[in-house]
Amino acid sequence: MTSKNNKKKLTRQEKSELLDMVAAKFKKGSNNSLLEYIERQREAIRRSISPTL
Amino acid sequence: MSHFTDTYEIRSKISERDVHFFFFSEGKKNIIKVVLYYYVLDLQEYPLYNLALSDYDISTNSYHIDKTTDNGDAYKVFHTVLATIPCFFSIWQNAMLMVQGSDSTQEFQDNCRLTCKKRCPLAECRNAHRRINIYRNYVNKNFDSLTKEYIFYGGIIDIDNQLLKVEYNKENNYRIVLLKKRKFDDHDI
Repeated sequence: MTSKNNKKKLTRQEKSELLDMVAAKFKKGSNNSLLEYIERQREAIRRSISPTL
Repeated sequence: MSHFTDTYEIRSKISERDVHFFFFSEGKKNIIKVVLYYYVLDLQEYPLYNLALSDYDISTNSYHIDKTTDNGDAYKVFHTVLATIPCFFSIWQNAMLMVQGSDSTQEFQDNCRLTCKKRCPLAECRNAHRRINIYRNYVNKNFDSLTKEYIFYGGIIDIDNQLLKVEYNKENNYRIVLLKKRKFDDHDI
């Protein structure tokens, strides 16, 4: 439908449908690279947290 | 943080304990952005969350965390991210939120030196900390009004590489800012 390399004026309806689709994909867990990144960052922050924070 | 008029329409998604907001950045290119609030751990009486921003490329189904896209709509994107903060706290009212820039890491500075033409001294990369500075400048400029709703803390990394939380002082260049929603019975700190 669209990508970073496409600059096409989308209607409000098209944008709304696109956001709905992305949110639905997220729900299905089809974003493993992102989840892996989050898990790495989460662990890095946990290691740096002072017990007195 | 909810008073901006120049923001993009957002969609929210709660995934277990994490919260994500999606919006459509319309600058030089059309880019789907994701604001990520991900749970880190429980700290005493509150859950700690970290804030991150990612691009989403629908054609490859891939995410590009904290990428600089230079899409020509930086303020609208920034205001949209800020506008998600009250939404986040409406879901997790008792949370502590951590904000830091991916350009504040040593990894960013090491990578920057590989290609950068600026001759920065070893101890300081001039391209570092730009992101957190934008957030901090916003907090500093609006501190009086923001502190009616939120309590801010500075995050300091001590000599043991441990994060400490201190009372927020506008004069300090914190690399990490923490905030939580003010409760009725909260005092100044």
